[in-house]
Amino acid sequence: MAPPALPTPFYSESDPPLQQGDVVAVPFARLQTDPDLLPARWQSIDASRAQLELPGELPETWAIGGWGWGMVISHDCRLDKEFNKLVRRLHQKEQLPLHEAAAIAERDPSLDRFVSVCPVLSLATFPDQAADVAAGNVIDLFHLPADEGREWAESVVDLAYRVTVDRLFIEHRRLVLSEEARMRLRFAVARAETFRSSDIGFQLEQVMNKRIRDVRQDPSNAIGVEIEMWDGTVVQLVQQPAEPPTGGPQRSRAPSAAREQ
Amino acid sequence: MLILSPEERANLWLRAATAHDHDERERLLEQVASSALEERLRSKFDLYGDLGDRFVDSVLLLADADRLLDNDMLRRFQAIAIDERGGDRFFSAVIARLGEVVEDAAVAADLRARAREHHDYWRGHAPSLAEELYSIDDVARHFFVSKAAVYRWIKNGKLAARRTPGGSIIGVFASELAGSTPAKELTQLAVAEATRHRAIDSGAQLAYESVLADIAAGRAKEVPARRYDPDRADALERAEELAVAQSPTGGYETDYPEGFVRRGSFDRK
Repeated sequence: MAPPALPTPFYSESDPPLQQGDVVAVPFARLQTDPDLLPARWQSIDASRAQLELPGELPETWAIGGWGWGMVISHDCRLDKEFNKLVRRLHQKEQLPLHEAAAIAERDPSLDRFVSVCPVLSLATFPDQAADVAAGNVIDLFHLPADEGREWAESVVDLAYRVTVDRLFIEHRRLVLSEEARMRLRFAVARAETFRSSDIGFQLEQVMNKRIRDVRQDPSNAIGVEIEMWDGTVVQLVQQPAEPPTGGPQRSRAPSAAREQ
Repeated sequence: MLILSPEERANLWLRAATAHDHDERERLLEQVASSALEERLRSKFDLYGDLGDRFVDSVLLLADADRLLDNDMLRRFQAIAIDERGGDRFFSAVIARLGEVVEDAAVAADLRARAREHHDYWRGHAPSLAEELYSIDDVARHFFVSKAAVYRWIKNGKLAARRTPGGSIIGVFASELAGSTPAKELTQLAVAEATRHRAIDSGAQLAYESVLADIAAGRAKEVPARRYDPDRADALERAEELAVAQSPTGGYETDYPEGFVRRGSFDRK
């Protein structure tokens, strides 16, 4: 099956406030017990490490991180929720003009302070999977095509490395996704977070011989699900009403036991 | 009474360590010992008796046995000026190092004999100093490392700690830190610790370099301040209300529609 065509244009010329899908300069960090475990795929963002000050009874805890381009994963709702709430309150209850209410809210740095981001890595980080990544076939990796005009090289968003960062870090933005690309991102996030425990998404694509572009809840039916395919057709399903059963692949032993060996 | 700042102490120490003239060196080392006695140890001993002279002789002996004028002891000597227990700890280090001289077969027999006499004397007259405990904070400060690093040294057997019957750490024995050999080893560990905390050199090009280059070249723009859009705010709020209204509160029924098969387990090959 041929890979779906990329949304055209993939990047937007607009310059909106921060939104889901923006590529911005941010720090990343992860916590691990072994400071020397430095996976190759994250080498470009692993610039420094520091040990957390904790009681000796707790396992050694290291923060490893650095800066790079990252994609905003938080949904737009989350990015402005407290801001919108405060503006509305100031406008409706305290009768302030909208622009004044917005200015007051904008000065409050505590609103919607934290943002979820994922690192943008070079496609060359995944030499064996480059074709699959570009075709959108690798769960956890969201492909960003090259853009000559923007001097942007083909890259990948690593959805498996999600970091909560302070919004005050975010000052510089490199790219804004088009609405169609943002929709594609949402599907990639949903697939990474919810479909991976079951291969139903792939099965559906195989049966339909079409790629899924979007999945949404049927507004007229609480357990209805609408699956939109890339050719625009919509499949309506009854929502799977339970979590996948336990008993999936498991580690044969606890990580701590493995470390001791 | 002679009161010296940490800087003056470092200066005195350096002069003693670099003095070529034997008498001058001895005079400066006597100043080192006297300042420790005067400032912190006066209340513990009768300085008008034999003890003051014995302490000065102990310090001179350590210098002759090449067990005194190192950075570790300098830091202890400086700590006398700023730490209430600094004097006790300098003294306990002197006792521990006398013990080392006693055990070191490479040291001349007469020095070892004198060291044994002083060591036994001090252990008899100041047992609390010989068993001085350092807190984890103290050790961390002394070696300029994190407390987590000190806990790790204890866990890995690099340091012996006194523990409660329940296993909680009370402190680290001064004798573990004061001897010149452990001090050198721990200093090396501390240096390794500092190196470990620094930049990671994997050889890969770091992403922040391209971020800085893009910003410098004007390829990145500043993100504009957010704006309030009533229509958009309404739409987002409605979407959230809808999601909340549709969320099940009492759990899902596992009553599958006809044709749906719940998988019992994943295939494990």
